[in-house]
Amino acid sequence: MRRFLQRHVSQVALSPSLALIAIFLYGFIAYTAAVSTTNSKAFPRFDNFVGLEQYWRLFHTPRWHVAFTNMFLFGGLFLLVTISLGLLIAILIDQRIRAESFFRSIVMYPMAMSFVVTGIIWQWLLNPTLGIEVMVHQLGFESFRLDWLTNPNTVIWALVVAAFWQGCGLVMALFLAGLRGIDEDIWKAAAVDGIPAWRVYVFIVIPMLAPVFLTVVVLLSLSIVRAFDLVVALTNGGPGVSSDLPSVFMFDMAFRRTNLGLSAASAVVMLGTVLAILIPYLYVETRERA
Amino acid sequence: MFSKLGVLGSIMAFGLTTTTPVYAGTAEVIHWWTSGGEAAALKILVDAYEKTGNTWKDNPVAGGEAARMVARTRILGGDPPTSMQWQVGAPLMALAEEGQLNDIDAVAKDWDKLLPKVIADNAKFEGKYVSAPIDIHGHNWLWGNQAVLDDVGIAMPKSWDELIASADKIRAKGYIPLALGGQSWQEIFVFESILVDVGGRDFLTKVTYDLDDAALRSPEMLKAFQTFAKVRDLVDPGSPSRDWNITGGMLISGKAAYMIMGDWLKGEFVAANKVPGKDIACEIFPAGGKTLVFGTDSFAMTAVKDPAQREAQLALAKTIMDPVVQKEFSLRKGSIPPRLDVDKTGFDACAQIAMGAAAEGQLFLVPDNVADATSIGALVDQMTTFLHSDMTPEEGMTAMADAVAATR
Repeated sequence: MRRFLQRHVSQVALSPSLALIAIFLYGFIAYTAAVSTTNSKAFPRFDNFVGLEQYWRLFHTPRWHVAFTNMFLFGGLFLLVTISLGLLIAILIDQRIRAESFFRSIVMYPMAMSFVVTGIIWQWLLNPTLGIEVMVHQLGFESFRLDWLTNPNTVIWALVVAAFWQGCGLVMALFLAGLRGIDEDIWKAAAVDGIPAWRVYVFIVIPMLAPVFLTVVVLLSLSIVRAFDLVVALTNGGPGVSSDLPSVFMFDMAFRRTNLGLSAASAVVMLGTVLAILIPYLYVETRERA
Repeated sequence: MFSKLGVLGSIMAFGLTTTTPVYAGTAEVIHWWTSGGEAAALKILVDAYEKTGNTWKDNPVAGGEAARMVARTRILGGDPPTSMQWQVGAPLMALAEEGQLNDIDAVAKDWDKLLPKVIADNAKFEGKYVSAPIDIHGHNWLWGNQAVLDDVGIAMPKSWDELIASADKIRAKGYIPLALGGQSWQEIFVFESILVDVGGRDFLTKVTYDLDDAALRSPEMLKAFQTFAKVRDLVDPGSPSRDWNITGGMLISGKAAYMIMGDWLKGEFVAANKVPGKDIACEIFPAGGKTLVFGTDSFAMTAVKDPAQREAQLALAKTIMDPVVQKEFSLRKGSIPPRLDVDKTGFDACAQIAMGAAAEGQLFLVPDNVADATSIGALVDQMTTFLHSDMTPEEGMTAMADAVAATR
């Protein structure tokens, strides 16, 4: 017994958590997939197998199309804006400026706030009858319009702005850490060769930050798929259903419309989307190691 | 356990002439009445119940969805509360069909005579009462700020045509014609009143209860969408996603002339020292529709087996239907009592209109409690999508009918 334990100590130590993961992660994923093949309404029931009917129904629900498209639209814009501006701010702060920690704190502060608070603040700021628009009107610019929040075609931008405001600090911090890790000698060598700073950044420093980019993309992607509280607080899916995200749709179907079958189907499709992004990434990772 | 004090209390409270032995039990009740006015109303019920010698074990959960989830989870786990706030109709029947409810016919023998037929029918499963209704809230109310109407020189409109015709005059005086909070649960009140306007109660039934494909593609439906499209111009740019109470503030402060909202809006009038029916005119809209869309709060009785729990349940049902409790409760909640024999004194003018409508059989149970939740949900999604888009009425009608058809 003792010899067995000595030989397999790591397996023994890990087994409780593996068991928990098996049940609470994979077990419930399987459970959700099973519910999605039934006609469950308020309670999960397994006596009413309907095959893939819920998936057919899901893809004939216009609101799901809006939500699913929004995830990619919101995700793409959010990644683009947050990464490019986060990197820019990190580079600016990296210029050995005075009061650096002051500026760093300003950018980092929104991170300390919950998405619910962020959502409500931006709901007020972007409201065309009491927010920024009214303020600019009072300054004398009567023709100024800022109706992102109330226009179904631009409401995604409002989500991106609020999510960026919240997420920028983290991205900036990660990039700044990456920049500080760059060897000073590279800068000295570039200075000797007379290469302008922007070219050093574009051709040398930023390519060296590739691992940081990967971390940032993974972290932000997770927050995109999880995004729920921000939408609920900022727009509650409105105007109409134009700012719905899959997670909001799923919640609505499960708890407001008491349609667990359809809700489970949407959850499985969301999982499939995540896997579609993750599997190629894991594939590349494992091949590089091999 | 026999409680003399409890019997005495109940005699004093309700003037009961017969004294049946009262067993002191404890009723654990899940509900979502946590705000000021709601809590004051609930206190009436709790006090009356405790006077029967039973104990009320309060289990409030903020938010209807959360409360229903807690109740459902408790039932699934085999530990149901004694009673819980629940909606009559389809949600109640779903529980009853699972065998999760007790009947309360022992105390409900004469309820058929006391309640409007629509409530009686929807609180019964297989002919037996499984839930006790405590209030009625009307949805399709048109409210008008009297000072604004006087300033513009118009009377409350009786139909959608009249309302739309008055919009230009209202705008000319610098007011917003219609205060609307652009969230789907608020917009559906507007849409339902338009359905009554174009096709009456029968058409509303076909569209929202039956979700009948022919009705969803009918000329009446097209007309409804044409009217609904005009609502886009009646509201202000801040309307989308706005909360109902902020929107109510626009009506009360005289920024807007009209608002369509359920009668819980009266609570906001009272808080602002405005008298419903005088400072704020009210009307079941459209006026000739003879249809008051309503929701009702009831307490469902779970399938508890323990005799003491069972007695506590029956005592609760009896207390809820007591005429004094029904009246005092609704006076505080801003609703009207489901019992038709409660006298109207003390109720405001708008509540009296609603009580008249209830007596005349004009009640129409909210479609959420009747129709399939997914199908009516698809209708609501397309209704709000249409309002916040530039779709033509034809496109809106087809999109709605298609979305509803896909849920079958």
